[in-house]
Amino acid sequence: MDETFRPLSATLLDFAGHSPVVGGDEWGQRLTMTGIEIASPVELAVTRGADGSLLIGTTPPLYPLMTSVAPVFHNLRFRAASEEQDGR
Amino acid sequence: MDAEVANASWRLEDFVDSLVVELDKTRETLAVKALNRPLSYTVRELALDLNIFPSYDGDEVTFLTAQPGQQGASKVSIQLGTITDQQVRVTSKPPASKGEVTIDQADIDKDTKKKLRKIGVTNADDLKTIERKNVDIAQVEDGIDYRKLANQIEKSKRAKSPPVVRAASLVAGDDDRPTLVIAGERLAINPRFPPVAVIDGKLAEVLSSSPEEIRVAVSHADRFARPAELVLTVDPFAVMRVNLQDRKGVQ
Repeated sequence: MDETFRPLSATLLDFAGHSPVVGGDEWGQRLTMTGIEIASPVELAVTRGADGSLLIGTTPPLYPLMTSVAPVFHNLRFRAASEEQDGR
Repeated sequence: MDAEVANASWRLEDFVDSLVVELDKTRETLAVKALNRPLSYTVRELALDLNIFPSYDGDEVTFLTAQPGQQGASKVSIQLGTITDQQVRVTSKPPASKGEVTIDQADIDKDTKKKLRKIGVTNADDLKTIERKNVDIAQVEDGIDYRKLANQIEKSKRAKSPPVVRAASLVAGDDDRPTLVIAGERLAINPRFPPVAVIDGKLAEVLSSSPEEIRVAVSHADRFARPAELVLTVDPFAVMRVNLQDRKGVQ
């Protein structure tokens, strides 16, 4: 996989890997984020590994400027809910 | 040398499999994280709208992900949501049991395999279910003969677990009748097909049969003083030829 791209799971973990609790002592109150919904354009690299499996690499749009070769953006939608919200 | 193939074409099934693997990795990591942090997230939905170029080679549809600079791509949307354990049980087939022959492993031509997959048949049990419900699959998919298919699958199954002869001995059976005892593994495993024995071209009576042992009546005790050939058909898919000679005859 091109080094610009990284496995999809790494991107998803970045989306949902932080604590749902925000705020604290200095704020005087704590909030809990009960859900996350993200829709983002992504660039994709679908490669085939040596064992024949498909590897899905993703990256957010690489360049903030117009480029001579237009990138292809795919759309990624992701939804996660806190376990509390799930009733667990 | 890098063995990785850049921008590989893919089948929808392969892509969804990889997507599920990535999603599982995410879930597993979040589950581990939840051990230390009591509050964590669970993934509820993942969707991808892809720009792709489909192609059909007459056999299957494959997709190529659009690359920078490429225009005119088609769109395909894939959505993965969470379902409960119970839903998984209701909507999934149980995994193939040990010794089960799948359609992919069976000695069936590619065209028939494709037709079977189209109607959701992936192993011998699926075919049996169709037979039990008295469905004429030739009406659903032209050119499929249930009996022929069942035989081919049975043949492949038998090839995976062939009969093995461990020993042959001549004993005095009931009424002192000389009896040839063939001992081994997986000999007569199909009760619908009693084994048939032929000694030097002549039909011999099979007295009893089981997966471990087959007893064959022999005309006289000196029958194997000279080399003899026993052809044992234990079922339609397993025929054994055994050369026999009494040790006394060898000395």
